[in-house]
Amino acid sequence: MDFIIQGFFHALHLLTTGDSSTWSAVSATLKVSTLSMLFSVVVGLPCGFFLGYFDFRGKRGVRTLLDTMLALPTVFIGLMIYAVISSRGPLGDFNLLFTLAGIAMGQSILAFPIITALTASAVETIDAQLKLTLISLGAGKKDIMLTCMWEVRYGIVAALVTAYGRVMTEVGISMMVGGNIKWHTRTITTAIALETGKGMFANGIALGLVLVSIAFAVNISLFFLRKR
Amino acid sequence: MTPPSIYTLENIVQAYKGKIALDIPHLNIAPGSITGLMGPNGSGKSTLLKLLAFVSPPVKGSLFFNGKVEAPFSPQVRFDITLLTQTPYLLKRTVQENITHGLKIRGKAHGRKDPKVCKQVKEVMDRVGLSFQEFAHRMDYELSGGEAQRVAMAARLILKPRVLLLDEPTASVDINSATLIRRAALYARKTWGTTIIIASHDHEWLQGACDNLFQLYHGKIFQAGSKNIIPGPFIKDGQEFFSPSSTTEAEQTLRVTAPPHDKAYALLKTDHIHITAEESPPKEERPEKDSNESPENLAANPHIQEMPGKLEQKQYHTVRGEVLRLMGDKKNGYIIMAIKVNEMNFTIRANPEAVIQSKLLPGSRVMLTYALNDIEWI
Repeated sequence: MDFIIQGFFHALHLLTTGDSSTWSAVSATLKVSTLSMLFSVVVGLPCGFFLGYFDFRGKRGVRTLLDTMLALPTVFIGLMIYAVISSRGPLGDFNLLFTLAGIAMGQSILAFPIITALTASAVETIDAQLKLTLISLGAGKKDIMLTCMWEVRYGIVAALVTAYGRVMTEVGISMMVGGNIKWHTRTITTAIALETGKGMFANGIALGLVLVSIAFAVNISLFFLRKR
Repeated sequence: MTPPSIYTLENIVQAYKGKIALDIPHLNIAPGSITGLMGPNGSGKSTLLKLLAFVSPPVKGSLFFNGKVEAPFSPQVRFDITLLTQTPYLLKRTVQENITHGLKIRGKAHGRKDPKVCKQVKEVMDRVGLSFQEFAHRMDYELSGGEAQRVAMAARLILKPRVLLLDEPTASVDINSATLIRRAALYARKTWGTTIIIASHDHEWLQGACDNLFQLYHGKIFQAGSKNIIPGPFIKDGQEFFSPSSTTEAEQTLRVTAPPHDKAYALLKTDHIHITAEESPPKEERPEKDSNESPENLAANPHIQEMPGKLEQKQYHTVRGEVLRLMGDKKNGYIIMAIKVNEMNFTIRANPEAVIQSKLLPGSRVMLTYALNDIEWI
C-alpha cells in the first residue's frame, strides 16, 4: 500500500516540477485528440444532422451500421489503420505509421460514429412543433435548419464531449499505430501502460492523474450540459 | 363593391396517408375579417389552418392568397401569415429572444439592445399582460403554460401580421391568459386590420368575436348553424337506422335513412329541422314519435321556423331536446341555439322574433322534428 501512496506523492512532484517526459506525453495526447476531433467534427456533425433531420431510403440501415461502429474495439481500428498506412498499405507512401497524424486517423474513426450517432439522436428529438413554429414565424428552409441545429446545441456539444473523452482515453490505436515512441508518439495512455509494466508506478500515477482530471472536467461539463 | 378575398379556396382536398382530412369545394375569407372555425376534434380545423398558413400544400385544388395561387415558403406568404398553435413551441432562449425571432428572420432585429426592438418587445409584452422587467430575460423553461402561450402570442403580434391564424389558442391556458390572448387578437384586427381565423371550442368567444362562423365535420365545412351532423355508425332497426352514439334513452333515438356506407355521417340542414316549444305534460306521456303527418298538421304547432311547403308525403321523426345556449349571429342577426339532444348538441339558427314569441331560454324543453327524407350523407 505504501508504494501507491509514495507513488502518488511522487506523481504530484513530477507534475508540479514540470517533468519533461510526463508533459511530453500530455502534450502528445492533447495534440492527437484535438486533431482527430477536428476531422470527426467536420465530417461527423453534418452527417449526424443529415441523418437525424431528413428521411431517406436506407436510413435505418445507415443507423444500424453506425451503431455497430460505436462498438468497434480500438485494437481492431488500430490494426486496420496499421495495415492501411504501413509501407505495404495503400497509404504507405505518406509515411504516417508511428506518427501523431497516423494515431489521429485511427482516433477519427473511433470518434466519427460517436459524433454522428449522438448528433442524429439529438436532432431526432426535435419537437415537430418547432418546424411549424418557425414556418409560422416566416422562416425559410435554411433558417429552419440552422435554428433546429441551434435548438439541439446542448445535445451536439454532449456528443462532442463524449467523443473527446473516448479518444483521450483510448490506448489500442495509440499503441499500435503510434508505437509508443518516447518524446514523439507516446501518449498518456500508452505511457501509463509502459510505466506500469516497468514497475514505475509514480510516473504511471502522475499521468493517470492528468487523464482523470481531464476526464473529470469533461464529464462534469457533460453533466451540466445534460441538465439543460 | 365587395373587397377581394384575402383567401380563396377552390376544390381544396388535403389528405394524410390517403385518408381525406379536408374537402372544401369553395371558401372565401374577406380581408380584415374574423372567421371562426368550430367542430369536434379531428374534424379538420387544424388541417385547414395549416393549409391557410402554407405549412404544407393541399393534395388537390387551388389556394389563392391575395388573388394569387401561392405555395409554402413563397415570399408573398412567408412574412404575411402567422399561426399560433394550442401548444406553441418556445425556442430554448429568453422570452425577449423568442419574441424577436420572427423579426430576426425578417432582418429587422439588430441585437438584443436595439432600443427600437426593445420598445416593440415591451409593447407586445404589455399587450399580453407580461411585464418586460419581470419576464424579458427569463428562459423558456421558467414560464408557466399560460405565460408561454402569451409569449408565443407576443411573438406573433410583434410581426404585425396581415393574417393571424389561431388554433385553439386558449384551450390549455388559465382564464386570465385566455382573456389576454383574446384581447390581443382583437387588438391586432383593430390596429393593423389583421385578418384573423380562429379554431376554438369556445363557442361564446367565437359567437361574440367572429364576423363569419363555420363548422367543420369530417373535413367538410358549413356555415355555422346551417347543418348538423348525426355521427355513425348506424344500427339497423326495421326499415330505419339509428345512431347509438347519440342515444341514451331507448325512446330517444335519432333515426336516419339507410346510410350509403359504414363510415357515413348523416347531415341535417337546420332549415329542415322544425322546432316547437315542448308543453308541460310529463316526460313519460310524451314518447318519441314517428309520423306521416302532413305539413299542415305540424304547422299548427308554435313554429320557430317555417316548415318548407314541399315536405308533403315525408316521414317525420321527433325527438326532445333542451336549449343550452342562445347566441347572437352578428352577421345576419339570427339567434344561434345550442340544443342538447341526448348526448349530442344541435346548432340551430332561428329568427329572433320566433325565439322571443316561443319564450325559449336556456333550459327550455323543445321538440325537434325532421323529415327522414331530408337527411343528406357525407
